[in-house]
Amino acid sequence: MIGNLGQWALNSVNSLACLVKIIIGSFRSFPNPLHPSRRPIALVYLKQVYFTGFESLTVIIIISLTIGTVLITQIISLVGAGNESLIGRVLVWVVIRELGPLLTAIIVIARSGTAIATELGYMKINGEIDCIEALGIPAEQYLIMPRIFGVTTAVIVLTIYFEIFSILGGFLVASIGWHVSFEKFSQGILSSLTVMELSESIVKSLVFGLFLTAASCWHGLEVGKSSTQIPQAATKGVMQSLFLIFILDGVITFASLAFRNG
Amino acid sequence: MDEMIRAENICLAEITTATSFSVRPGDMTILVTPKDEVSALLTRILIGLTQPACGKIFLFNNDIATLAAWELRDIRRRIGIAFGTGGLVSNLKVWENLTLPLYFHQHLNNDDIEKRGLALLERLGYSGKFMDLPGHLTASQRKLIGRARAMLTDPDLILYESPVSGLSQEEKNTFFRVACEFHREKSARASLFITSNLDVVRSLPTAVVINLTKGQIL
Repeated sequence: MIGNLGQWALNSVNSLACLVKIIIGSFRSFPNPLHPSRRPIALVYLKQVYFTGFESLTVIIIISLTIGTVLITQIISLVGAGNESLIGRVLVWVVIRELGPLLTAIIVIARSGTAIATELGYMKINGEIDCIEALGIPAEQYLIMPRIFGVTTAVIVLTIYFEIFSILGGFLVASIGWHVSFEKFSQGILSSLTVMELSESIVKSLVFGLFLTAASCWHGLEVGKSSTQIPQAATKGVMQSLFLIFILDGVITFASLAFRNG
Repeated sequence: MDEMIRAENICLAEITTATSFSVRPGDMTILVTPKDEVSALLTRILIGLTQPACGKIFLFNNDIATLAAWELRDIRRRIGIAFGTGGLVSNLKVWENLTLPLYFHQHLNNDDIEKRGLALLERLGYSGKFMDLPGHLTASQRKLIGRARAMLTDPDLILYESPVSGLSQEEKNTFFRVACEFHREKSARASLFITSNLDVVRSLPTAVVINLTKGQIL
């Protein structure tokens, strides 16, 4: 039992080290702005931003509006409709600090994480990654780096959209259901919305984006020669990404709390 | 003397006799293998994607086993590799596949790349679509685009893996004509055909033939 636990811990540390290596490798393989490779790499980056960011926007808006309405209903049932500043404050705490980055990352894992792991696994089995290397093109620079930065950019932007639409959804329900005025509602939100809250949200989405993409890429590239390994890679990528973002969420939240308390 | 490729006592599971050969600037060489799978494996070995069971490979006088990944990539940029299956990237359109190495390695503007790409495709007799994904092409069209991609960078050495397998007689004739013209266009250019199809030997009578099935040079 203890041996298994130790083995599991060792494997987890090894996996984390691999992901950190992939992320550092991506930063290091950033192309020289004067090198011609910047054009095809930028194209892969933009395609990834479009696929992950733009095409997920509708899903993000619908889910965030729904979350906002559910949250505001629960908050009002807890603190009452008359306490607008507390309503705003709780909404900021829950949405900006926690749910925005976390749920956005989960949606991106479900949509883009699986797609990346599957795509890279398929390319590996078909020998396409070797063909890219045979052209003198570093696969890490052409395939991994733009995907990592593309998804991370998209996660940050989608998180901002998620937070805006959650608060908007919350206000609409509070306004229609409990006649909460926009002035008091926005005062409650603005009074609790500090640079610290926004920084925490952006740092979380940045870290989630980097790690979820690295996990998906890693599992995609781990595919061997059998096509049955592709769905396994996608599943492993999703599970590891989910596990990681929950752990990292806890770590960043504790670090942020420690920072606030000096 | 400068050698573009030198294989020293390499052996594969399918070829029992350890074989040595070299390709020098200007050479047109045919490596005859027992089957297409061996041609594919040998191509991978010659460009350093797979290690041989034994022996050494030298590319442009560098032992590839001792090179760093970036050094090997720099050397590969001097080689055009026409894979037997085309070796196209499935999520890039035909035109993107064709021009990828040019965009990645060379400071050329879009117009120049477009002119070079279109001229080469016309010369090779490509009549398919440019903006389709490779999955929509026939096997011979994928092969042709892979070949065009290998030629487009104007390499010092060009490797053709199983160049005529799956082609019609007309497509084979076009290939042999264009491959010979392409070989002559640059004086020091070497062409290496890795094939199990003896049509290549018959159609390129001036080439040096190395028969790996018997471990001998003809």
